Amino acid sequence: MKLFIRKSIIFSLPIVLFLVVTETIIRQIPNDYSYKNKYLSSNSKHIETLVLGSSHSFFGINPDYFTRSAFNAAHVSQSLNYDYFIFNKFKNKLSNLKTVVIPVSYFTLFSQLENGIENWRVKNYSIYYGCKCHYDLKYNFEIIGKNPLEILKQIYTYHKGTNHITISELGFGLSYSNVKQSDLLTTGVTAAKRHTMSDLGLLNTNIVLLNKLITESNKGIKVILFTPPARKSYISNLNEHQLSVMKSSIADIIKGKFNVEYYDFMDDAQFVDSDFKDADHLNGIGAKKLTQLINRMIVDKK
Amino acid sequence: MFFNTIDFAIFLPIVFVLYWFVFNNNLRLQNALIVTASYVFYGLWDWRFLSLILFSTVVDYFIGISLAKHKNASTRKILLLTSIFINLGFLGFFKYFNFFIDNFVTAFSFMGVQLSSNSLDIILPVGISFYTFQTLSYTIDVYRNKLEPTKDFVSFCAFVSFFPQLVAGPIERATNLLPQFYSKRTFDYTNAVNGMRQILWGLMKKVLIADNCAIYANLFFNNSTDYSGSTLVLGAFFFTFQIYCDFSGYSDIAIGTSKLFGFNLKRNFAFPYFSRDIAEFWRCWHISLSTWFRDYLYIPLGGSRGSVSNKIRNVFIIFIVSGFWHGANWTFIIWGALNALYFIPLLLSKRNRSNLEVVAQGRHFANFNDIFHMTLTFLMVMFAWIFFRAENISHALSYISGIFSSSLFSIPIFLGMKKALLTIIFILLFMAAEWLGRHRQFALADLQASLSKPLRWGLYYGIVITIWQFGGSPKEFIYFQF
Repeated sequence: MKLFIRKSIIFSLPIVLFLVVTETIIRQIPNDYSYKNKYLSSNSKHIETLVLGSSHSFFGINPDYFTRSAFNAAHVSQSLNYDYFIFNKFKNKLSNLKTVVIPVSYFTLFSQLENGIENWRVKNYSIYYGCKCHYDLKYNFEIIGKNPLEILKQIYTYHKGTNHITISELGFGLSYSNVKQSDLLTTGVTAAKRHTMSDLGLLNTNIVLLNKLITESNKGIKVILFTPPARKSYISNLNEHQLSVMKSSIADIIKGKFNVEYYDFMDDAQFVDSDFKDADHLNGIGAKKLTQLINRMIVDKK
Repeated sequence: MFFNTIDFAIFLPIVFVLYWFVFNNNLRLQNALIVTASYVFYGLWDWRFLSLILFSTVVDYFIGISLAKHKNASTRKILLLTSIFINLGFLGFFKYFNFFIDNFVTAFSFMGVQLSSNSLDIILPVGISFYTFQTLSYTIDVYRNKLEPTKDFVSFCAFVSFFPQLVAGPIERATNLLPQFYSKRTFDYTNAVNGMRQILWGLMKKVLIADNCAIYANLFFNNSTDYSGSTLVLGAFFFTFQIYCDFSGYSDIAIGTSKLFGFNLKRNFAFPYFSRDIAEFWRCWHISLSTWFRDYLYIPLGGSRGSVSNKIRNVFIIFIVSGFWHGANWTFIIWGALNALYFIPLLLSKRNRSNLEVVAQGRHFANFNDIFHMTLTFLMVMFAWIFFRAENISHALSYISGIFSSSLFSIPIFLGMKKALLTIIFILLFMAAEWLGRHRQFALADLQASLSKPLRWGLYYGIVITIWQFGGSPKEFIYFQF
């Protein structure tokens, strides 16, 4: 028995050592999540406009174009449960907060990060934001789900000087700003298909979360909900039922709430093909346009 | 909890340490630990269905005791039928209720009677087909006086719920597994090392081969109308290896894990894709289920004795029931019937037991005759798997007609061909390893006899790194749904 245990330990030791060392190193490499958490921890009191949400606001709202001091705390596929978590974590520090901007896209009310193909991102909230939302190990470690070459490459490129942060100082996602436009027709079809849910069962959960976020913002904080712009190829492939449930739910959410405003930019003619990275994401030019529109709404109704 | 998760990698050493170091001196406590660990293992999937296992355990425990008390034949028969009715009743409700309702509605609609379908939203409890058959075998063996009923309830609970094989087999016989809970287990170093090797080999099959094959099998089967005949052949090929490596991988991990606790489970696979005829294939594939049906259904029906029509009837019954065991879908029934059609000519010509020894015994390579027959059997099995994998009969038929189209001899074209090629290379390497180890219980068994320690450890590390680097994204084991 002792021999078996000893040999098992000796055999496992190099593997365990590799796991521990690489996990520790990777956690030290600054990334978008650790940056945003750090920024919010130390600069919350200066923030007047906080942007939450998924890639539609991460790539679609550039805080540089807000008149007031703003920060984009959105991430790719960030669902309402994480919007609520981030807001809740920093709400006591956000002493100057005047506006919270949240996108309500076609899929927002029916999805959660955990249930989608981007669920590998859940770990980022556990590790870098300190969210104790899941005990599942795959949601708490960097190296789970990565292969050895990926791990070594990540460490190697960082030590060679590659910056792993892909956002601006104020949290805006830069990777869609100056890149070649993808085919708007095909991306519209695939994105609409990806965003159409077979089950709308998460609707009530998400409505509760959004209502909680609005209620807890009530003390002089305005909540701006908006549906982001998209191209025809995306809009025409959406499921009518899901879309109508989304619209009626938004109407129910904002009814009787004086601190909430909603704007629907989905089919807004102000946005043209050259504003888009793909059929449902704005590029840098489109982001500037959308931010200025939202900024006007904040400033005009002050 | 699934074998291919980090959770299991933590769970197993904890149970192992408690088993050998804390409860080592007390057999009852060791068995109680196994029961607790098994219930935790199962409950982490869905604790509500633990009540089903417990109910089935209690029913068969008391029926077993009652069978020993009563000598009257009709009372004993009633007791046996009660056990069969309860166990198959649960299985029938959870697994086949909607199938029968839907088929009744369809049958009546053909007669012009329109009935409304009231199918229920039923969750199939993981492993129900496996533990139901295991408990049934106990009651039947006690009824047949082949086994003394146990009065040790904890041991019986452990026998029914033993976590390594609870959810996907091998389906153990009470005559083999139950007595192992009565006697003190001693730790055997060689057996434990072999167990670790078998776990590693099983993980390799599942994560490296099955999960990678699943990518392409799913792609081609789910979009079969979009691909050429040659690509669909490739899809069937990938599924052939997915199902084998997924299921036999699970069995390897289950058997290997049991060895760590001092138990010996039945062998479930014996290199089935080296079979030279379909009879040999069925002696090597899912052995614990095939022998279950043989002993409790085929032989009571008369087996291969009696008239030609009886033989044909019995073969059809056993294969169709075996197909239906896999799931409530006509595809499984056709799959079973197709295998019966393959098997009957061998039985009638008395050639069903002509390949009993390991292929190319005492030689490195198979001769031309063996290669021809192995290839033919493999192609027949692969063809039958199309029905097994398809969503329904019309999907299977459209898949087959897609294969036999003018594009059959074109070069397969699809996204991700490089990775598919890599998967094929892994399959070839895997089959080479299986060929070299075909005389053993599994390919890596008793490796200490043929390789030096540095080579062995190098091989183990090589397998671990390859699994980690190239393993497919984690997927549930296919047989969990059966």
